[in-house]
Amino acid sequence: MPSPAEKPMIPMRRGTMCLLLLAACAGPELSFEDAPERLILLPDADDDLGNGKADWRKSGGDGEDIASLVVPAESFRGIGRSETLILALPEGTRGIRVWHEGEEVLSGSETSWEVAWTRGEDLELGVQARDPGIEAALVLRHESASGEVVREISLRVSSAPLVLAHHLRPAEHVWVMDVEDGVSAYNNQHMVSVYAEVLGDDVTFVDQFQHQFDVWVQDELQIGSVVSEQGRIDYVLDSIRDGGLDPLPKSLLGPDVAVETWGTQGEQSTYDSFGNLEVSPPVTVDGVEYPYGRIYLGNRDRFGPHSGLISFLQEQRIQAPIELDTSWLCVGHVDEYMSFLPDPTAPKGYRVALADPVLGLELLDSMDPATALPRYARGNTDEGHGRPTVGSIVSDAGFRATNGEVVELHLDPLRAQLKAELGLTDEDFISVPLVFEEVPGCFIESGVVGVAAMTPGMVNLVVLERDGVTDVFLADPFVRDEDTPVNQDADPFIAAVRERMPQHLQLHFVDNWFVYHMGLGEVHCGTNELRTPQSGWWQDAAHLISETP
Amino acid sequence: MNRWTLWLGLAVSLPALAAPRDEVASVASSSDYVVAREASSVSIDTLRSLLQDGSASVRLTARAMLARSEHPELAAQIDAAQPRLSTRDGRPRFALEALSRPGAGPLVLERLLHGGDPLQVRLALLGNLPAHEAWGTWVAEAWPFLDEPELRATSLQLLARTSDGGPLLERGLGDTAPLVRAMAARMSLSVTGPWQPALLGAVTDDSAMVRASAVRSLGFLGGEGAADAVRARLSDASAEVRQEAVSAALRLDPDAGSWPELLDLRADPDPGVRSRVRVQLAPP
Repeated sequence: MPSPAEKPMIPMRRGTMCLLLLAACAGPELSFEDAPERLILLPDADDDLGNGKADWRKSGGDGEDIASLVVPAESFRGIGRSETLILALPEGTRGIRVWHEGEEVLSGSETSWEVAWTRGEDLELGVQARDPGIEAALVLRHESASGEVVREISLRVSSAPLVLAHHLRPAEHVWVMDVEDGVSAYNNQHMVSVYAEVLGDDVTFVDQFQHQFDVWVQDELQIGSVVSEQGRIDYVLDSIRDGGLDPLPKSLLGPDVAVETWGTQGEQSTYDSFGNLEVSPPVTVDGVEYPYGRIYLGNRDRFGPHSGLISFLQEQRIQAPIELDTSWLCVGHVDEYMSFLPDPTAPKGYRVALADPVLGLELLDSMDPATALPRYARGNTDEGHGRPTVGSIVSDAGFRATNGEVVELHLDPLRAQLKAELGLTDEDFISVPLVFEEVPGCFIESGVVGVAAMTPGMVNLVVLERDGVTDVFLADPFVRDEDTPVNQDADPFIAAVRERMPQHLQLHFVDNWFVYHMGLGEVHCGTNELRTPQSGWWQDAAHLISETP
Repeated sequence: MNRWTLWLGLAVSLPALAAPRDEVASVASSSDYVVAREASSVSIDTLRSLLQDGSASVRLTARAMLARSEHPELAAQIDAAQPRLSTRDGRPRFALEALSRPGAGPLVLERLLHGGDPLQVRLALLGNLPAHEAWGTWVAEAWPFLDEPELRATSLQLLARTSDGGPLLERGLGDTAPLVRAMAARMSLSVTGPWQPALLGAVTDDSAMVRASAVRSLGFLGGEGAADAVRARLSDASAEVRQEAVSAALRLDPDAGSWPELLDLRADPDPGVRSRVRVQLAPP
């Protein structure tokens, strides 16, 4: 892991900007005659002060992300000796503070302050937000001696929303789990070596021994960004799953990097893992443009990601979340059946790779049933599927029934939902061969067994666009008579993927069998990424946040 | 040799012959299996002879004690193994090569039966048994001692990994636990055998879980009486069964989409049933 000082986050010193640009340092002005349309803040959730806590908790009014606001001296003209000037936040406002000369004058508990103004002097205030996506109003009111409102003006205060990056955004840094005990087949060294070869220094390998053998690095954290005209804070969502990897997101807290947990620790389910929280590229749905895409996450009836997290994501508004049914999966994450990929030749500039058991079965049926499948042959659930040949798979009526149901009852309705809620059409989809099996011992509820990928889930992939080159890392399916990741061109599943994928993509089929595939995950589950955020939401996504909630 | 000499000889030799077998049987049934096992001094030859014993518990115990004698280091490793890893959904996972090494099978089963591990760990141990060729026989022997329904149900799921799962499936269909009967009905699609008559009986099982599984499997298996049995379940008291009956009916009879009782389910009080009808009747 890089030390906090080495962390690959964009440095953007708001304080420094303020010194260099004195005009900006003074901040916008709020008077009875004029007010800016809106004051946009960066949430002060990072640790610019370097004390190991979010600045909001410890700043004392001197954090770099506290915005200046000036009430000019001329605003005080006409205020009689017995009259008062009030600055107020509406009752119920949460997560906004106003500072004056190092003192907190307005907050959730103090919603009204009689302004201590001095004739002839500007009043300088600091405004601070705790979280992304807060919408509030700051009211300046001139009251008569009897308490009647003489003049009043309201300023809309917004903290920039959290934007989660979709797969088409350029990658700045990648974390990959490194699993190796030196003696057994239980390692992902082929995956590690391919990443190292392709990414060079842009990757951090995460040691399993330091994280109590928790290999699910995708699930523990989700990295997004909060961007305003003043700069950028990278915002790490720390899952309440709290596995051995829990220290990893927490270690990223630092200057311009916030780490927050949404939801209640101890109330987690599999749906709180962040392989179950993904983002589409830009979409238009029923005429409404979502230039930052829409968040999609999986649920099962009344079960799903923690309601606290969902509420927070909904409050950000510009990536309005949709919920997809993942109830039929043993693990229950959306990244098990779909991913977005860039495709310059596509009408929308991207395609959706969607798991296709029909294609998977067609390919298996077309093979010689006697074809040996060494990787599938091992009988124990830690290592294989107990299927020594292609024939042992395709002749199993129960397996065929399961896959038929997955298509009929789950993937076809899901495809229809994606068309409706993400504005997709049939031509936007790419079929990726994948067959599912019922997972031994995975009882989702009374008598219901969850499924997972039997052939390694190639849709559970990672797209990394860097310097104009797009690399895609996906699982080697081993649907061939090989026990090592060689002779990949002879694999009909790989051939089918190569044929269907956009041709500009550099595809890397990695061996993630023992660590990830047999643990019910794939390449995406062992990887996490920091991506360059889109900027300019206050312009191109203004229509999504124009109404105060 | 007169008969008195014979009786005397038997009286002397019987305890010598019977004691080791009784000792193993006593270990097998001991409330503190590990202590009883450690105190035992039964010879390897005797243990070998007990592999053919008429009692399944004696055979299982003798096999484990024999494996322990032959592979002491492996036994220590398996005793101490902890599932440090977890599957992505959070269930424990060993991923330990020792569990699939030759000779390890009886030791894994012994720990599963007597190790005192939590259910999820026992399920992880069970999942490692199919690394060994004879696992099906061992599980059949151990069946009465797999005390948790989840263990027996998972054993049935693993039958998709073997070609001779018939006898075990049959036991599953007659199990006392609904979860196990339901899994047996489900797995009847993967295990070759004449299961259709049993499934026709299972569609009226007391448990909705079993009825739903049987209806589902009949929908795929078909055969005489299947369509009528499934049609009758369209009005089952359980929404879960009605859902499965909708899918099964449409598989068995292309005209089922015009059956009044199926069309009535479009207004079923249960949203899952309504959704199933909508999805299954949707044009491809």
